[in-house]
Amino acid sequence: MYDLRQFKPSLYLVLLLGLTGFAMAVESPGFWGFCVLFVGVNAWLVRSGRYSPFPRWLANVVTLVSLTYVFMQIWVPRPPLLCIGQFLAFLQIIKLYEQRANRDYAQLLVLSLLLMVAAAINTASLLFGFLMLVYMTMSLYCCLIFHLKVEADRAKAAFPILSDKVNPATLQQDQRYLARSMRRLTGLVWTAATAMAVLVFIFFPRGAGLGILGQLQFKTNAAMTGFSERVSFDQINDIKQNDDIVAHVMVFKGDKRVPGTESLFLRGLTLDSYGPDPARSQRYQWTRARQNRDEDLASDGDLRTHLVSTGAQWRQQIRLEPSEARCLFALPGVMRLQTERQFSFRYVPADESIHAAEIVGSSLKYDVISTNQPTRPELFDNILRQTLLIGVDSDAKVLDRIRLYTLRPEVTDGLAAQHSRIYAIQDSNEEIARKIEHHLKSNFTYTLDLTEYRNVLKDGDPIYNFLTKVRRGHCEYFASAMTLMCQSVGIPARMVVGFRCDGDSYNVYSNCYVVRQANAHSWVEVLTPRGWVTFDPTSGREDSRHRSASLWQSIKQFFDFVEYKWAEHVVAYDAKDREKMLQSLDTAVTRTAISTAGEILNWREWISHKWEELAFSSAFYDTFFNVLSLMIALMAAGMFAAIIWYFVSRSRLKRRAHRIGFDTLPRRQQLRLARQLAFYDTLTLALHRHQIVRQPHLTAKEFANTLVFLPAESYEAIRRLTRLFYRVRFGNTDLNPHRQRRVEEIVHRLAETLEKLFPRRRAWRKT
Amino acid sequence: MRVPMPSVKKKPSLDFSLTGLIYASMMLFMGLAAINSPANLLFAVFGLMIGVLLVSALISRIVLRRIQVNRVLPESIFVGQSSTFQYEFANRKRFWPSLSVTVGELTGAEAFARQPQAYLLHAAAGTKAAVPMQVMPKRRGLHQLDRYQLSTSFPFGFIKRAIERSQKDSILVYPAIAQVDRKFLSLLMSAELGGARMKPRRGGTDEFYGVKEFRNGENPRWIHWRRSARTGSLVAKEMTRVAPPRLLVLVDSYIAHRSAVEHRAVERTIAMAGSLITRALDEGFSVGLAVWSRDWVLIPASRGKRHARDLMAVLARLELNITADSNAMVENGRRHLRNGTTSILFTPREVNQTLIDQARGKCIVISANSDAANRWFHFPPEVDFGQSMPADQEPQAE
Repeated sequence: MYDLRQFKPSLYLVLLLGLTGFAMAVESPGFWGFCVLFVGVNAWLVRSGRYSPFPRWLANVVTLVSLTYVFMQIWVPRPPLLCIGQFLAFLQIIKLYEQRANRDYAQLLVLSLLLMVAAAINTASLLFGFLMLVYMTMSLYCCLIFHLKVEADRAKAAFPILSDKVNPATLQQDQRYLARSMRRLTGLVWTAATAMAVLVFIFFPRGAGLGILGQLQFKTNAAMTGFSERVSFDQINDIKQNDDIVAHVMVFKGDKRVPGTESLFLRGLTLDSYGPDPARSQRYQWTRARQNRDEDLASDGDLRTHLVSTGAQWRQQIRLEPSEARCLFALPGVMRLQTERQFSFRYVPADESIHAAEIVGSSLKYDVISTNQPTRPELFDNILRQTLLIGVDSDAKVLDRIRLYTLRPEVTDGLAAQHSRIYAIQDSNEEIARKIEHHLKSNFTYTLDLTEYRNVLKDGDPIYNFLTKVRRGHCEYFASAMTLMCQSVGIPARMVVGFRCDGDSYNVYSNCYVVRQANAHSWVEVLTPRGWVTFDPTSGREDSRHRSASLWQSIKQFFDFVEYKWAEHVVAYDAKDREKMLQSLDTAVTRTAISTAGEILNWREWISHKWEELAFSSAFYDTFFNVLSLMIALMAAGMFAAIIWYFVSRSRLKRRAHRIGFDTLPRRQQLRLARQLAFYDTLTLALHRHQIVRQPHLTAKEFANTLVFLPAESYEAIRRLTRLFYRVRFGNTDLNPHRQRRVEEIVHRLAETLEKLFPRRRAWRKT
Repeated sequence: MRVPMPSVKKKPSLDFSLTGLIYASMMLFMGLAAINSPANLLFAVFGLMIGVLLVSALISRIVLRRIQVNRVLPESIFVGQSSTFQYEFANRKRFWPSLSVTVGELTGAEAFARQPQAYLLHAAAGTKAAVPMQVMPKRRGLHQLDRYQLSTSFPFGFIKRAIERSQKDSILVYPAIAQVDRKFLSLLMSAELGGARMKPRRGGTDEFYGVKEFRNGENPRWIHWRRSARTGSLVAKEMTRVAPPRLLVLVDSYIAHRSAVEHRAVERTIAMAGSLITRALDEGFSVGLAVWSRDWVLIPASRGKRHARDLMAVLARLELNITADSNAMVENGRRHLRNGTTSILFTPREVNQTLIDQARGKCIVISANSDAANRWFHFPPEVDFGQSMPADQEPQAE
């Protein structure tokens, strides 16, 4: 009966958007391609009329196969929601190929919605947010059309009408403007739904029921590549750069913001003991030798250390994204740390590292004040080290072999050989360290791909092999080498793992350093009389000052900035933000109310003051009298004009009634009809101007019929206007003002046409 | 015995559908998921779902507002014949359309086999839309259509809303019409049946009637030349016109015991009479009617569409007759019989000898259930005489 052609294209579009959203959330272009291919083929089959639904048994078999595949994925450690999403996508595709009736379409829509929900749990990117908005709009439109289709089909089955009884023009009339109506309704639904979504998003309480049903979401944005708390050399791969954002860091030196001109070494943790894993002899790794006195700070998150800054203080406002790490990063010389929310962590004074009590599962904002200077250990620790009561814990055999290398003349120019083994902290520590750093930087090559040296590196100690055979590697090798070389000659040294950010990481829009996994780095700290001095022996990683960004970099920085704001204000919106929002709303409303009240009071005082001034002035009375007289005169003139206008309009209406020919009717009816039939009067006057006059014996209809000599369009227009005249005159039809205006426009256009046809100079013509 | 009425579905003014309940459950689930998970976007999805539910309640209300419904009823409808009503929907709203509206009659539905319902897909703002609806009338008589209900579950089918309106209309359902055998009509036209005579009238082309003055414009072939030559002025022949046969239909609607069988027979009788009247008038007969409906009703024989409507209207509104039996009907018919008029008595009872004697030479008697009647009158299979009487004339329990 009714043909709702818009439904299928919108359905396919909704399905594609849902699949795209899920593929975006799991970052799997292959999955997207797979799904789009099948959906596209199905759409082509349907469109070309070749489509024939799968038999049910076949669909069931394919479903079982998909289920089996998904179960297998669950046994591999993959997040459950990912597997559920994949299964939903497979189900959709199977359903597409066995679609028969409205029930199948409804199932497709529901599956698509569930898929988007699964994707929304997994990702919080801005692009996905936009996609979700488009998806919601399309799905609303699709659901509206679908409902119409279902109801129309139901009505067709319930109230059948023989096709010969149905006028096609009637059906067409029903579907006239259908697209416009659907757009309006979709707009209303979208607006209301979005407004409610925003209200719920902003005002719904957060945090109270977190995890009440257990953890279902994907693993958080873990630092899978890049920063790791474990440093070992058993896995040798071609390491890929990872651009996942770890943190946003805003740095102030004193009171001034650091505009990307400084390199930042954000310390994570330190490792100072190297050696083979006792369980697996071929595995060499770094560990922390000992943990000194730890300070537990759990109550207010305010860490204060013994350090005192002699120079400018470096304040860092850090926003750390969720990660699997338990470290909090900061510049060296941490003096003070304060978290925005209740968060328990431990500070290790020995190596100034800060460890969270639990994994950082959601964004964490904290402020750190550091000296960014070499820090000296506490007095007690210093004495212990100097007297070698705190020795080196790295494997002795490894150190022996590396010492041999270190003592080579070309490495430290013989300085290492002169270094005394009795006292650990000497003036020459720094110089020797510098030599070693220079040696590594100059003679070794930086690379992330060590696959071709896998066998060499695995044969024995990888660091020794790096120094003697491979002579290329990434920052861990360089830092490990330098640390061991220092330790081998009795210099206290430790490897620091963290992030290094240069000017390239600085975003001019958000005015902060954007720390990514790709910025993960290892460097060395060597204990000198000045304290723990930082050395970076990795070659090819020169300090790069902030350079002006190219156009593409600027665009990328802008998107990073938008993404940052999205993550900060939307993704990380929590209970505290909600409270702040409510408070600020409350404050704003109160302030507005108070200021408005104050303004009103001021106005009142001003008016009463002015009034008092005027009231006691004699000129006031004169002026008042003049004004009053003027007002009365104006009112009287207005009334007089209104009366004149009334009589004039009445007279015009009567003349019009007389012209049209119903002046024998009762007065009231005359006036009503004269108002309603103004258009007919205009028409006859226009015709009269061109000497086309209705004879008294002709009715209006007969007169209209005689105008056949006019162009067809004008003739038809006059006939239609005459029919309208009859409907108003005899049929009790009332023209509303809008319709009157439209009819008047038609008459004016007709008059213009007549003007063109019969210029006034033509000879007299009478019908 | 009460005849079963068609079920009239009256929907509640506001109701949740099963889809709506499922949706509400999904919405609550989404809320729980949002509370459980730290993903803020789920709160947005939850809010969206709440917004959709609220706006669907609003839209269903908007759809039914300011919509005017007019019934366009056909001039005549017959029992057992499918007919088309039309509903004109005028959407008076300036901006919002009306979609997916169902209109169902709440009163007057007993006249039809099913509750009359129609479905409007769409009426844009400020426009009109007409929707046809097919009905199968099953009871004769005057039926009042008054209250009707507009309902919709637009936009998403979560909420069903309905409103009632009132608009009085009446429709007269005529008795069922059968196909009448031509032989029966020929029988009626035969002059050998008592009383049927050809009454010659002028103005035809049959036999010579007389002469008249020839006027300009008449056919010159009719000029009677001989007479014209004799009279000196042109005269034309006048020919006779065969007067159509006149019929007087007598309908015996007497019911003695108000059993279902009797009622069925009476309805069949009435329908047969109506069928003959319609067919005879179409063939050019003059037909009159004599029937008992609270009193004797006699309509003299005449022709024309209006006369046909009048006769059928009388039959449609025939009231229950428990007073005037067949003999009274025959007697009454005899009193009003004119020369040249054939009377036909339709009776629901078996024709007995006394009746034949009474009518001998004056009247044709046809019994509703006789073989002859079955041979001459063929009713559509949809007609059920057991249910075609007006609702207030239903048989009583046996």
